[in-house]
Amino acid sequence: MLGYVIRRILVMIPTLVAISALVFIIIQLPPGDYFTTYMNELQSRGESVDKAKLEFIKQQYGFDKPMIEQYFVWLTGMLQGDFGYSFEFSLPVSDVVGDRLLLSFVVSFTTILFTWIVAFPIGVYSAVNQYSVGDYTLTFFGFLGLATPNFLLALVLQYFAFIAFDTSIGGLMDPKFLDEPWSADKLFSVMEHLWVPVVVIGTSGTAGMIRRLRANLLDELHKQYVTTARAKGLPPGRALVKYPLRMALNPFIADIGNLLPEVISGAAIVSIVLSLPTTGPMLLNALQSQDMYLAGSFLMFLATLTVVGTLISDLALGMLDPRIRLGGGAEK
Amino acid sequence: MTHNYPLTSLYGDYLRSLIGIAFMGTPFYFTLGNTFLMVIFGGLTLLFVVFGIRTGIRHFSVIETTPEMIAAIGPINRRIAWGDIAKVDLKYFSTSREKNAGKGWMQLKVCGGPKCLKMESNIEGFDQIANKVANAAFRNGAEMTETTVENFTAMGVTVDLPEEDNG
Repeated sequence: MLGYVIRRILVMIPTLVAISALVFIIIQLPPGDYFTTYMNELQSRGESVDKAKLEFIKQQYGFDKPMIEQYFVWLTGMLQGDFGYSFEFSLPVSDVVGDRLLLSFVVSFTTILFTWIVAFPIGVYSAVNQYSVGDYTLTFFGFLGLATPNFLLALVLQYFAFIAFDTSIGGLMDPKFLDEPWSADKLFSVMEHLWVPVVVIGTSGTAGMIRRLRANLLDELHKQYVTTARAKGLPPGRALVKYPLRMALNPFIADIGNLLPEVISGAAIVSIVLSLPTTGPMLLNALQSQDMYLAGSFLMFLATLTVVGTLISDLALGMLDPRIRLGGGAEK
Repeated sequence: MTHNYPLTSLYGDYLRSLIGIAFMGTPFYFTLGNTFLMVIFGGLTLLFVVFGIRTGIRHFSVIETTPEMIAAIGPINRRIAWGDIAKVDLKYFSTSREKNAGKGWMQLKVCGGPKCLKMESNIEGFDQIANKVANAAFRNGAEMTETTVENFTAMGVTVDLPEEDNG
């Protein structure tokens, strides 16, 4: 296993270096920079701009240096825990992201829990009772969940929450708690608002997961070893859980790679529709205003989480299912 | 009969260890003030150091099979009599996904009492060792997972399990 871990970590190094270069190039691709955009904005409002001061600031932040030099300064800074400076917020990137990261984590983690808790029993039921009334009903709701656009569901649920529970529209808490320190009332307000984004973001994921779990489990249940196990008198529950269910879970373990960045990034469009103070809208604003260090560092953070997530899923799969993959012999 | 790791495969592992130490050790040196990053890069550097040491141990070890036992002889000596084999694990690892299936390696772990022996498929004569281990394990009724049996079968070694383990 150590050899496997070492090889996988070594694969990560060039991957992350390539991603960091790509992220930096893409962030730099649009013409101009944050200060030019800011200056144009001021000029469009008829405000005066001191060009000499602007050039001085650009020099101070190293914008006049070649791109490759800027890249290495950024990269070495990140390796030392310095993610740069957000020009828009006039704060270090780590300070800007901090609070939003926590709220994004709460929303996304609850969504993942919701998805798994709802999808898992339904997926298993649908597979075990294939073509039953229950299966058709749940499949119908599954397709409905897949087909409904998230932003539309967000608007409908916001309206419903306001009419039925008098929950304020948008945000993750009542407006009066926005700048207050954490308290039991504030926590309760967050809980009161949390279910709307969780249901909205989680619906399509739940529906997709039900379909995949059902399909994977059906594949396994139709294999000969399950028939043999049943013929030998193994109880149905054990014949389901012992191997078929475990094998049907492999694709979900492989999905951890995608899950980890999702926990942090949040669903940007839903967050904007619901006015959630999460990281998704922040990234969008940073990209629009060319706040390069904020956008770049955050994208790099997401990419690192994806790569680490893939590593975790590969290690978990390596531990859970270390079988020879047919189609070629193992290297000797 | 003795089996050892070919130098060509060990050079690859030495190189991996050195690359890892260089790429993780350098940031570790520069993050000495940041506890979080220090732990991450320090841990990873340590992992590559351990891997280098393990490669060194393999470099100077041989696996010997006699009619009585299987033994590792070198910096760490271990002997397990064929009759004492109580647990066998044969695992397959690959860094490629399904697309490049088959481009991987295997790890055989043989345990007898508190002692365990581990070897990988790049050792010379791995098929012969696996065959002897499988037969001894079958004779002893040693503990083997379904995956281990499948892997032995895929290698061309047939192992019949007692009936209760087939379900």
